[in-house]
Amino acid sequence: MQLLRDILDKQVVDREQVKIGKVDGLVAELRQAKPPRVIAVELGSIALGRRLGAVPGRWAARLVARLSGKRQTRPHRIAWNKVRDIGVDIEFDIDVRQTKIFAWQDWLREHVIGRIPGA
Amino acid sequence: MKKLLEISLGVVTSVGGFLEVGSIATAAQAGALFGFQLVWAVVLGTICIIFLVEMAGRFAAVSHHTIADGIRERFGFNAFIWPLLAALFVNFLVLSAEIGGVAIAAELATGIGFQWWALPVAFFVWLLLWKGTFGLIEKGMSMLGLVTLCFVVAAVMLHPDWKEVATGAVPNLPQHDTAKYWFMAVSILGASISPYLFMFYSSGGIEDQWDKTYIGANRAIAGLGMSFGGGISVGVLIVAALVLGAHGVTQVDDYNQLPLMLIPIFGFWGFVLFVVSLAIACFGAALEVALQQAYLVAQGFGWTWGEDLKPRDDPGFSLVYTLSVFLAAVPIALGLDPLKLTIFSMALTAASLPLTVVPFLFLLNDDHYVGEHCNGVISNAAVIFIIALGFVLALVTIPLQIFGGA
Amino acid sequence: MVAAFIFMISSNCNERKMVGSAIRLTRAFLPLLLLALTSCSSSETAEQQIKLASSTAQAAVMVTDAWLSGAAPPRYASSALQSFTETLADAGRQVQSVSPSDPARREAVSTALGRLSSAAKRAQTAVEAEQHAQAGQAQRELRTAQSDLATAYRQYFSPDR
Repeated sequence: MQLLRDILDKQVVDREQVKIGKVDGLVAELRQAKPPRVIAVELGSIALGRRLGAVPGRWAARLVARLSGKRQTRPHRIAWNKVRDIGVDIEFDIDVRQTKIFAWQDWLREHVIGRIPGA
Repeated sequence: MKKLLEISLGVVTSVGGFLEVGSIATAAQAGALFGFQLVWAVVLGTICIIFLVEMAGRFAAVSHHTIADGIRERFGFNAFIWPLLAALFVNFLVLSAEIGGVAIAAELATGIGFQWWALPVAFFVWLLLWKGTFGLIEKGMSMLGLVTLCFVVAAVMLHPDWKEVATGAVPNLPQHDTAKYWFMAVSILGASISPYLFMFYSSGGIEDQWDKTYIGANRAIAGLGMSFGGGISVGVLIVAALVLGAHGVTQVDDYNQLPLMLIPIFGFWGFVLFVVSLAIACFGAALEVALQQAYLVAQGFGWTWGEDLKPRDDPGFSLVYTLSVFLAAVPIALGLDPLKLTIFSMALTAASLPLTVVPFLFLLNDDHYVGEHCNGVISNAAVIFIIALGFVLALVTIPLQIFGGA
Repeated sequence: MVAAFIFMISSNCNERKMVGSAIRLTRAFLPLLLLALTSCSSSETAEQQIKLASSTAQAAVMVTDAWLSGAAPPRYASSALQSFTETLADAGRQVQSVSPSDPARREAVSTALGRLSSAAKRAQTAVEAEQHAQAGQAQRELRTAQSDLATAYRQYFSPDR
């Protein structure tokens, strides 16, 4: 399997088949005398920003920090050993509701979309 | 039997959804000034869109990916961002033009200036997206869109010289207004080969849960639906040539001239038919383009999407179409002439084609996605031709805009 | 002119083998563009304006016709005529601003354009007042002024100027 071709930018779903994002980045562990090993995938705007370059990465991190009100922000990570299935989508054995990946969507639902009648 | 019903429904949908402000305006302008001479541009554009729509549908049916998913996955985010930005921008202009089209129809019907209609129209578009389902929007609006067939009826009633129409279907050189001629050819091609059309179609394939058994149906829907749709555009062009052009109205720069196309044929009902056709065609297109903006962003970033979901279940997706619709209404509300915006955005669509069509060449030949249903020689030749055409269009659009568009 | 444009771009690309295409293309483009823009003489603007005016006048005739036969609602007819009047008046101003080689011939064109715009204005007033006779008269005036414009146009661009 070629990591960059087959994993990066694939759709990620949780165990309920909820679409939670794309594989925006990969985290690999360098090992001595052995080939590197993927330990996690990254999701979210910071990971995406970093793909475009160091400067957009910093911008994205700053923006996310500003919006979430935290001093330090990191991309969302899902450990590679949670992978359940790789097909059209990559399924991870997690429940998105127990992660912070959808924090912004929850905020949006609560403060904007949910307040409009008929939502 | 069930498939046959689905095919006919799909064809009807494509026919009813084909005409929009761009195809009406460009065909009317071309017919008025050049008679049947630019029929070839409509025919060529229709052939190109048939191929692209067929491929987009086949890609969705076989790989269960939309075109946007495919581009991101195959080429990576750093490459995807360019077609994404280009499509978002062009779609914004087109959406604005479609809202303008409905607003013009409202102005013609009521006498109240079009800029006052921009926000109410945007609100209705949004409301239907908010409350409606994919089936309602795709099938319902397109059924109503069949009213645009009145242009075909009108064209037949005018007894055009069909031999001359056929002659116009072969590319030919202009005898006068050379710059305008080529600019119009570019705008017609842009109006016919709209990226939103084939991208929306692939999202629709996923929304309707297509699988490999739909390959045949997809081919029939793309081929028949788009051909008949192109036929309506030719109808508009013929009517414009034989009504406006023949009366000496050669420069259709003012949307007030447009209803004159059908009045000499149908009398007062011609006026009504024109206004209703324009309103429905543009309203349907506005729904599709707004939805396509949301599809594009949600698919590009992997969010939950689906028009059949409740807005609270896909808040990101709903937010994108909400913002798109209301932002696109702003230029019209500020009084920007919808007809000028339409012509401009059609030319720009043509110029953006290479960015959205080049990926087809790779995606539809990657057995990772489409397996044994790869492109054949003819489809590949068609894509290469469209890409080449797109590059030529991208190069000539700006100079032509200066010489022929003003 | 445009055909030549396309040809020149492509030959340019072949010679330089597409190196630094974007910048070179713009460089090749700009002088051409400027040349072509400046070569668009004032007579071309006048010609465009006359063509536009003639087409608009015909549209005004058609709208009045449609209203007279009850096929166009009055609100549409009057706002269309108002818009056409403005276009015609604007064409008149544009032609006025052109520096002519022969002022007398430009005057003839200008007069015809003025008559067209005032006839369109009268048609609009008649539609609003629901006066069929006046509308018919304004329509006839539109037609005669239109043929005057055609004559003036032919003289304006006759080779002996």
